[in-house]
Amino acid sequence: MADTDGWQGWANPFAGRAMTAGHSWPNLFATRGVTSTPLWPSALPGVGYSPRGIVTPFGVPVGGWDFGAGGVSAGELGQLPQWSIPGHQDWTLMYQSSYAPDFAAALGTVATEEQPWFNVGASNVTRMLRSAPRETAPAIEVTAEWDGYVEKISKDHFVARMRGLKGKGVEGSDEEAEIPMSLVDAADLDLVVPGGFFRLIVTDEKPKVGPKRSYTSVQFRRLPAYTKRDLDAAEREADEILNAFRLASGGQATGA
Amino acid sequence: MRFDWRQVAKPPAHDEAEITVIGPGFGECIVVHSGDGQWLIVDSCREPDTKSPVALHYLNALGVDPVHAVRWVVATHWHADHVGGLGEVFAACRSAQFFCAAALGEKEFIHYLTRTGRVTKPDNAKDFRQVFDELVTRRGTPFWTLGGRVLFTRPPTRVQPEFRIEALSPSDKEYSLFLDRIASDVRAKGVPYRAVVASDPNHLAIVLSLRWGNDALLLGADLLREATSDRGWLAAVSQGQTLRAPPADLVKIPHHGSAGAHSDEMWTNLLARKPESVLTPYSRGKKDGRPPKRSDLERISSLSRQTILTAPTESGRARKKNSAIALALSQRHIVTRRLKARIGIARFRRNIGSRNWNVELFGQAKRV
Amino acid sequence: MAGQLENAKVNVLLVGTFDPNTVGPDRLGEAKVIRSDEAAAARFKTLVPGQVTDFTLGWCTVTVTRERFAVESAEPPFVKISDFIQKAISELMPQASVTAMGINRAYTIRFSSPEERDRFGTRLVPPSSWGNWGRRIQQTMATDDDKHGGVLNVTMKEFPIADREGGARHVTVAADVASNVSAQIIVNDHFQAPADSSLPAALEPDELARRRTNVILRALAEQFDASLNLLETIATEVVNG
Repeated sequence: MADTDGWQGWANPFAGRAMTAGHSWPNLFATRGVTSTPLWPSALPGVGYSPRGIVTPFGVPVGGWDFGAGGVSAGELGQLPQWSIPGHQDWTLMYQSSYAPDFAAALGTVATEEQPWFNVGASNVTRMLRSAPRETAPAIEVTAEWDGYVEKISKDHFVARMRGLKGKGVEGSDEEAEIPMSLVDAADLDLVVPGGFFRLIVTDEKPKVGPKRSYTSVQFRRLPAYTKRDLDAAEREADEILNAFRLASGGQATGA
Repeated sequence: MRFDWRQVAKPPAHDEAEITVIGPGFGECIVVHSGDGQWLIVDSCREPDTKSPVALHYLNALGVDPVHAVRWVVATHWHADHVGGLGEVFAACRSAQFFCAAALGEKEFIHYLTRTGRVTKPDNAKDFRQVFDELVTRRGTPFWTLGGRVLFTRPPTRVQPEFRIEALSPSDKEYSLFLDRIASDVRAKGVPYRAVVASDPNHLAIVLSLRWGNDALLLGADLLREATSDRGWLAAVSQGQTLRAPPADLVKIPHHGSAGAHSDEMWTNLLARKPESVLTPYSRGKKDGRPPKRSDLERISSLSRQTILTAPTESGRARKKNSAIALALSQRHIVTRRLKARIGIARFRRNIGSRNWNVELFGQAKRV
Repeated sequence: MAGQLENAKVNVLLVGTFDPNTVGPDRLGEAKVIRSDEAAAARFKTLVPGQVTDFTLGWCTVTVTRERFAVESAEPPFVKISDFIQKAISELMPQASVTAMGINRAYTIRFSSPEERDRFGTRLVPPSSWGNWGRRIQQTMATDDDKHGGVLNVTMKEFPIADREGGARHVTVAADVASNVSAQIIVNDHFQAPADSSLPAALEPDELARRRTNVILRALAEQFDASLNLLETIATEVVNG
């Protein structure tokens, strides 16, 4: 099956080279011979894929990867130039999910600089993985959501038409709302125009510790802008309608 | 509770004129039987539960086939709030002519329609575009309407007088004002998609006079009073006088009975003394700002033989939100009002040539 | 309920031809695809000019390669993902060619006990259906040792999809090897651009690519909310049985 290593389709900037590590990381790839069991066979285009490759798009480890017969030694890794990006020193690293430490332990693999790092094909992109901290973000549940647009703007509020998308007593409803301007982020005020679209959501956040909290927010949508192509196509369509009407009334069609 | 259309099921007699006003509280639809099985539909709105057009529900309940029986469909506005479902209505009324304001046939407006419809949802101009698409398919064209035009004349027969449909508005001035407004639309290259909103003025409203011989009724659409004689009711009254429209003894009150649409000249020159009045209240916006206010009803009632409302003057009780949601909104001072339409129907019938209207009220409709 | 769905994440992945150089945070901020403060605070994870652009904003992660464009977020409203992709492609990457799209939702399924998780797994994939070998695995589940065998992952596909040409839906449930009281479920709604044979003939390749892209972007704009709702419903049904 094509792309079973998970990297095919992802450009390999290093063709033939590997990236430097300079650190000791739990190496998810150091277990040679782990059967490739990609969660997302890449023969299914459009199915969620991740540059994390080994695992699901959402960082859940479920198998290992056999990248082929070649390997990359620590010495070779050390040959690579350092790349840097402002504000981020570890750009070569891909972050594994919160489960990585346990996963690595479960596989019984710990790599060191002396050991061959990867069982990877030289033609494949090689990445070093470092565990991210276990997720501590609270679980968010959307209890209600509306899609709306601005009808009228007053000094301190705007009037909107909304359609309920989710929530008890909300879903499917057509509603009119008066929403205080203070709920709109200052950086989004230029989006508050007649016809401007927004989402109003009520969410519950359940932290790992502590009580549930409820939040209400108004988020204005950043939609595509009309392009010349859009406007030209609309004009052509308008010309077609007008010409059809002229012909129907016995007149002459005019060129578009 | 869902409206039971079976209660309106009795069709008019061949020689009975009928005007039925269906008003859910925002948007309205008027269905007229001109006699001889010929029907006119003015504007459109949707039945709240099925979302299908009320005009088709009504005709279906009467056993009237819209394909052949409906001869005219008029859009007095173009925005979805006033013509919701009109595309479906016109598609069903395959023998009907379509009337709308002449300014809507200008390239500026049609380009506005095609521009807004390409990219934005909800699409508040969709219904109008559907009508135009249907016309193109039928190789037809709208009948462009301006104040002073006779839209249709049915010659008299042995048993029935001449029947006419006349437009008293919009005026030439309103035509050009509308095009200026459309031309200033901001949807240009680089501007993000935005919804069509209902903030266009009501200047393009089509006021109709329907007459059977010397008996007439007036459909006031949403025309407002303006200060100058080339706009609003002053211009419409002038057209009515030019057309020698007989005074109407039944009037669909303009713009939900608002004070801004009241015109002494309309009452004096276009209406009979103490006509039957029917109006569709507007149930959007803050309760104390919605037309008709109490003072509006008092004014209209003082001038009318009787005044009928097709819907209550307050919006219905909202379906209850989950208390946590309601609390979350109120804590942020967000006020919401459910736009739940409740069907009310006022039906007026009389034998063509007789004086008195028989009035039937259904659903939420009531007398003031 | 068999388990609780938690930690919802949404990911939209486009497959096609893209230029990763055109969607850095600065350019996105200039084009108002994102706010300027979001652009300033962006954190790169990977940057290989012309090949890979991978960064996080406050609310999402954006990964663009020459063949993939993916945006992932755990923060509602998720429609921001759809808006971001539409605006970025239409304004910064008009030459992009999109051939397929996946709208994906992922959850952690949290169980109250290892036994509950085992019951869930055996309901989905009965070990007894796997012959004597499966029955041996099932016997290990009856012991007190919570490290035992069982299903690692299972995927179900729905095809064809009634309301569109091409496309499919997939649901994958996978054991969480790091925890014995959770599993992962990913629901995917896959959209496929029309085959060239179904588009008007005699179009230039660029125009063909543009039309294919428009079909996908239109599907994203019009079906995103409905797709997310459906995926949530499917996930709930799979978990509850």
